[in-house]
Amino acid sequence: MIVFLLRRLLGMAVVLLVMSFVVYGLIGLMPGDPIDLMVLSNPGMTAADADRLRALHGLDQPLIARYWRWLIAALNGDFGFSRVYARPVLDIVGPALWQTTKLVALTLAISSILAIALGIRSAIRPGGKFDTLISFVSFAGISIPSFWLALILILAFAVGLGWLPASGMGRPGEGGFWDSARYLILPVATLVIANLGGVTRYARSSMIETLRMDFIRTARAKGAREPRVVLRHAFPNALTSVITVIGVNFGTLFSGALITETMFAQRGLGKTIYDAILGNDFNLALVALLFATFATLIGNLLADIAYAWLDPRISVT
Amino acid sequence: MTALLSVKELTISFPVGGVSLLPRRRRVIQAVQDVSFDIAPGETLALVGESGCGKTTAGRATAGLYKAPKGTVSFRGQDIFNLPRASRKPVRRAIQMVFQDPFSSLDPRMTVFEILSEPLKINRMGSAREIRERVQDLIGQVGLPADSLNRYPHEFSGGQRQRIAIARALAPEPELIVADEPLSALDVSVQSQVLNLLGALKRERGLSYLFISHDLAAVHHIADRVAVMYLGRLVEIAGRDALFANPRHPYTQGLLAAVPRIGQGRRKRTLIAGDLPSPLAVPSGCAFHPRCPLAQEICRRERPELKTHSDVAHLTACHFAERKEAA
Amino acid sequence: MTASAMTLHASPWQRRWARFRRNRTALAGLCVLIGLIMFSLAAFPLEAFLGIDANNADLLSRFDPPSATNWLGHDELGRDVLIRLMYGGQVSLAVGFAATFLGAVIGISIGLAAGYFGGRVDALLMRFTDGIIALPLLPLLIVLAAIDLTKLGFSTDFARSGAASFYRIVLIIALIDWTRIARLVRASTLSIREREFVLAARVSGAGTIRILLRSVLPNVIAPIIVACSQVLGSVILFEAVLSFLGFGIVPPTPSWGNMLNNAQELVATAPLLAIYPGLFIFTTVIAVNFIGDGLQDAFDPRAE
Repeated sequence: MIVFLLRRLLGMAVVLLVMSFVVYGLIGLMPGDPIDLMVLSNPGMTAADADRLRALHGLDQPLIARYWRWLIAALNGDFGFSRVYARPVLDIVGPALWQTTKLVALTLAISSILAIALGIRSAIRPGGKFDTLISFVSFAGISIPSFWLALILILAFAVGLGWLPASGMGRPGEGGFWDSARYLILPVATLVIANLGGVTRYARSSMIETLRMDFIRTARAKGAREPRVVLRHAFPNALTSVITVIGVNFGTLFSGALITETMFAQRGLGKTIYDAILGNDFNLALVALLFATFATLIGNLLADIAYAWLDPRISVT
Repeated sequence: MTALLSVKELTISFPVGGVSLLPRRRRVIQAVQDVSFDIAPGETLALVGESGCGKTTAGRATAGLYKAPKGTVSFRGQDIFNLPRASRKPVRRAIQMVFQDPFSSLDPRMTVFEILSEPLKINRMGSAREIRERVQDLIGQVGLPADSLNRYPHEFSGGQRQRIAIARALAPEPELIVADEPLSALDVSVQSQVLNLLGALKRERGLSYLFISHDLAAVHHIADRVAVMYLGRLVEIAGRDALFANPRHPYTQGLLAAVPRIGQGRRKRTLIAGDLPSPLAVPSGCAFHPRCPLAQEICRRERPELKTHSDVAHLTACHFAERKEAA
Repeated sequence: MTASAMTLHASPWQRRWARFRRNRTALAGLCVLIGLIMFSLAAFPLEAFLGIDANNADLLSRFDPPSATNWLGHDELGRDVLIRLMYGGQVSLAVGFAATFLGAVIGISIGLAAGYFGGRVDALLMRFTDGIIALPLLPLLIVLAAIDLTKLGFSTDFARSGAASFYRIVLIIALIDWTRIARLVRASTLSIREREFVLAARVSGAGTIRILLRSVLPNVIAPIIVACSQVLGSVILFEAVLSFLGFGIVPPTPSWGNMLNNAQELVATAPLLAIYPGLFIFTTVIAVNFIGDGLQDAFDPRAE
């Protein structure tokens, strides 16, 4: 297990390293360069001034050298400054990470419970009315563009009914818990609907597969009642594979929340990346993107660990 | 007599287990070790042994499917693993193969015509019209109706599929056919028909076969000479009649004794005891010693060489090959 | 000819089509998809027939209600909504098919190489694939889409053009959508590689390329088609969201995604304008997903 963990962590480090280099290189290809922006905002600057500034910031050096300097600083905990916010990048990424984690955790909790319940109910009679309905709804959930879903929800609940705020996060310290929770309802609902279909289909098929196995037939033959067969015998076995897909979803959601965060003006990691790229705040974009990658990788790792934990047949080495 | 095919000290091993990006020591199965034999033009050599003894691997290497790290396979004196570019196709073409499982050896996505014309197209043997005529010819030679050509393999029975596989092997006009257990996947009632087809082709075309089988009755029917393999090595090789009448290696004796024969009553049977050891842990000395009724101390320590004894055409790898003859 | 004789002589494709046809939702999905394609192509004749130019902004007729010539009314710039939906469909579907196809070419090449050559080639390629799969794709797509083409040496005119935005979005989506196809092709290739008919092709003298194209590829085409149909849905969604965020197809060229660019403000004033394009995206993707599901069942090797 230790060896497995070490190898996975090493693999994660490699992915992050490669990713940081590639993104660092791509940022050089983004429109606008920081010195040009300074020149634009300060008409008094000459081309010679710009060159001096370039040299001062090391921008005249080759890509590898610049990346190396960035990497050494980052490994020492210095991720640099955000151009737009004029604050250390971590000051901005930290709260954003927390906001996204809140959204994702709530979404995962709600959608997993719902998905497992619906999946089990569907699997009891595959092809039945309930199953057909849920299968159709699941397909709809997978197929709906989430930004459009968010629009529809805003249209219905904020514009039409006026029950919930269309966007924003509320003012911290004002209005209390319920007030800030109101701001989370629509974003979480969007994410849950978009996420539910996939997990439900997965829960359903692994449950159907489990219910076909011989040990289930044995349990029935022993005279176990159907609810007991389903909940006590089949469910724990089906859970294993569902856990994996939930773990992978954690990663997907973490970056997929970008759209929902943007639509509902939630200052999460995704919106931070989006705004940073729009605002040419590339250092912020790079660091936020690396944190998003890290979260995705952690999600995959947790899924694998949970899988190994729950399934006695798997032994990780 | 010059050999058509000459296999010398052929050795093939496979790595076991997964592959890693980083180099590390791997366990290796010695599938074939130091195997040497010759096949004369028009001759049929049978390679017999239990499943897993390496006879399939040896056969596939002969057909050029595996590159051997050690040893040579030469066809008409040319090493098939190191052919100059110009003679690669003609030499490869001259050695064809019939596989064990006719359900797996025919591409399910191709019609019979496509299957049979493929080797002709690859080797550029004639125009489209000539190829069509040749394919129609071939399908008749193996005893299938001409309307088979537009059908797919799944529409045929096992015996018919094996006939198609034989027709494919015949297509590029080979001189040697490696037939790897061509009968074992077939119903018993069909086996003799396919065997007779192979025999007829041999007589009519002067084909040579490397006939790999564990079916000793079939071997007796078709082979001129017989080579016996055990755990990757040859233990005995001799003319058919000599081997069947006077087997010298205790393993060969056990194999022959295991064949039930009609009209011979109950013979004293020296059946082979125990199971085939794992090819990952080949016993020391003579690999057969844990199962051998004659095993002595020397068998554990020293590996007997494959050599001639009283009969020059009869090679045996056993420390006691001479003694038994005397006994 | 009797029914059983038909199935006996049927090629694998005919048998699969027969199985696919029995799946009613999948068949409905196929009809809807064909319908959507025809709807998109109808833009040319309809525009000529109605005598309007859908790209012509007319600020006097902003938000005009439906009329005899503008069947769904005008958008926020006074352009005809219906015709723009049709043109948008052409672009969105074209991006979807092109990016899926390009991704399939990448995935097939990598999957075939990994599966057929095995060993270290396989290990290397699959680590690479796993690495891509583990990345946060949406933010990464945005970074890729934000790249300034002039810094890659393209002319400013080209970099700003609608065509450039089309090629760029196809390319960057293809760069991330091949992984699923590569893994499937690799797994199938691994199992096909040792089949005796592949060995037989080698004995017949076929070279590596010929074996890959003629013996291996046709036998892994079924999982490829299934995977492509599943990838297509997500590709169309990616195009929509990137164009919506302003990183995809550049206006005035319409796509279903960028027609929603101003949707957030429009939701309050002209909700239908915010609903139509999304409805088309949704319908297309759900149809494609139903087709994918049907193909999966129809191509299930256990049914063959």
